Amino acid sequence: MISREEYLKIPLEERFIKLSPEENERANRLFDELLTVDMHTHIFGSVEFYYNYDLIRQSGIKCCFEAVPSVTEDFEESMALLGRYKSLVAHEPGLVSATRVDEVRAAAEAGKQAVMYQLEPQTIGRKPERLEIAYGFGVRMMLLTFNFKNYLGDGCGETTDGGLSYLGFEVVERMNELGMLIDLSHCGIQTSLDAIKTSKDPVAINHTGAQALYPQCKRLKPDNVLKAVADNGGVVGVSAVPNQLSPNEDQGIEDMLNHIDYLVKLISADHVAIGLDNHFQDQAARHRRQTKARTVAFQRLGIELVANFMYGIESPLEWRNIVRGLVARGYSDDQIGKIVGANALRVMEQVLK
Amino acid sequence: MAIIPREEYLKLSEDKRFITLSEKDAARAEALHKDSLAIDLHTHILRGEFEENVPRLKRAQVNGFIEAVARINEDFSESMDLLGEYLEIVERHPDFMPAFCAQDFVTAKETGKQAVMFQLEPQTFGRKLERIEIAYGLGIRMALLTFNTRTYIGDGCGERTNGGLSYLGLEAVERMNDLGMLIDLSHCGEQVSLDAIELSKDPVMCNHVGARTLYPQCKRLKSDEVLKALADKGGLAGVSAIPNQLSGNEEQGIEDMLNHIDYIVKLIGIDNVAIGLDNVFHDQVAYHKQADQSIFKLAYIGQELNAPYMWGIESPEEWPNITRGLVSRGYSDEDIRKIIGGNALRVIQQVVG
Repeated sequence: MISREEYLKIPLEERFIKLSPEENERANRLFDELLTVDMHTHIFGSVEFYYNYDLIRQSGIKCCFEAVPSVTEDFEESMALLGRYKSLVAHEPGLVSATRVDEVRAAAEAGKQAVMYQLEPQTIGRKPERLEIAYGFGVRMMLLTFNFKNYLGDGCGETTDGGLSYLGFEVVERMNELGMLIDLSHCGIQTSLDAIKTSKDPVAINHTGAQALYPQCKRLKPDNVLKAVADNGGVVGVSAVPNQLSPNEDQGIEDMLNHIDYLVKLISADHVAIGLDNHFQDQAARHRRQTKARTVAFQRLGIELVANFMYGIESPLEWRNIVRGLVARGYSDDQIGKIVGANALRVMEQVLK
Repeated sequence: MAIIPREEYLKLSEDKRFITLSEKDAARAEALHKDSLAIDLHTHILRGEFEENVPRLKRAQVNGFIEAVARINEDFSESMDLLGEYLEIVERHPDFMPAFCAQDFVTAKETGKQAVMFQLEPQTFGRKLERIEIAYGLGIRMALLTFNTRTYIGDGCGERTNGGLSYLGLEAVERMNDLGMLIDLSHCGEQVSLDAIELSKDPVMCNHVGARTLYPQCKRLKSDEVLKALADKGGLAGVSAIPNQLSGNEEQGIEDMLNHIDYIVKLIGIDNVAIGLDNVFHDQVAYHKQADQSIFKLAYIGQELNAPYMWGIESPEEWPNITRGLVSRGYSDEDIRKIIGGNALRVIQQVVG
């Protein structure tokens, strides 16, 4: 295994999955033509702020659903960050803030990249009226809980696995009424099942994977939750965060593809999407810092920080490699189109009013 | 007694509202009440027009109150603003003084003042446990871990689920112990209560409750298991006087309170029972009717609005009637002193200093 520094010195094309010349041409054509949607991005950084337009442009993603983080669940803090992101986008001619699918399509036609916004996690506290405020500022998706307990439900790394609270049910209802997507990526199993059952609209688990492939990892979802999402018409986004898809020392694009294969078999290509959740910085190092600072308790998620980077999908710059991987695994153009964007757009069109 | 409307009840003279005693017993009760150090562990005396209430508080002849700083939306800034307002009132009034330790209650008795200590109901720490220290610094000496609903710390007694303390909750208990801040569990769910009692190094209290065995449908009351666990750790059960929380009768009052005191004394001993009225000077049932439509649902805590008020203990003004009641039930002077203030002072001394 090489170090992350050495890996980053390898030219981009050499990090990618090897394809025949015909497959190579097909993959490039698909990536350039398709309206790609990354359902969970941190292009402005994650907890630490970071912005580099050149990198966003080079990623080639047509639509980013950017996560606005506030681990302390402070509403003002998350709205301040949202304002900062939107101001940067407003001042960059190549980017456009979007709240609807037609805006995303218009941006793509004009050769621009669309940025949509989600709260990760939600920061409404005990004030459901904040849903409207957040909607008004452009938020179109919300993670109901982070890894821990909050007013709405239990996170996946909590002492308990209670379901939605009374307030949680009310919030799901209000999000349905407003037309805001529900994300369950960090929620506990019972909270996920309650939300899926209660929501009139399809919901998303936008950055996760199949727990069947890595049972000790609580950030992944068991089959019953995945099936329930699909039955409700929703989508499951596969992530590319190191040490969440497998416990191997070497991890990368193949782990992602394994999860996609499993999910397609379980719930069909109509319900699988992409939500990388990675960024342009050193994620494994950040996770170690967070463990040390006790801001995220990875051991409570069953996660061991073994691998140092994700070979072939370490940052959004390597997005093209997902399409290459799907070609290599034998998916049809139609299936690839659905997974890398069309499924996400379908659900967004259905939920966002 | 026939039910008369609250307005008519309030016009009755004290001797008609108070428990009937022989001349000798009445004299004993009066002398005992005046001589003892009485503490009400849970009050809302600063809510509303304080100046109007001052003469009534004097008639209560209580030396110390623990006043609830109540922001049901759990907004920290709002709760600190309210604390500031309350402290200003108490600091400037010649007949009152703020209390930050047990000795302040003793001083109040010696100087003929009434001392007010402050608690958060519920806590407003959110996910920022450093706020425990801030609240302590600004004058808070007790905090209710959850209201009826779920918080980051655990589940309330009127929540759908009965999960225990979260990881954050465990940490909060530890920090409160370290600082010397009292833990109140009055509105917490069963499992949160048991977890907190087990984990806390210091005695904890349920400062405004009653025995669930006497009125099983009311979730605001505590099970025998919780009451016993409290006592085993040296903590306190404060008996409240809120209409429709101690029984389901159409006529309720001081006798209901005394029934709960009798039961709890038999169950856990005389050293672990105290008083925390939680009542107010205005019409509580009217307030509950209004609250049921807005801030909390009475059905979730099993509360029905059967009685219009509490005969003999409708407001803090009628505090001397508690001592009369305890005399009528045959308690010794020493036991009465413990219940009306001695036990409270002991635990405050032990935890806060």
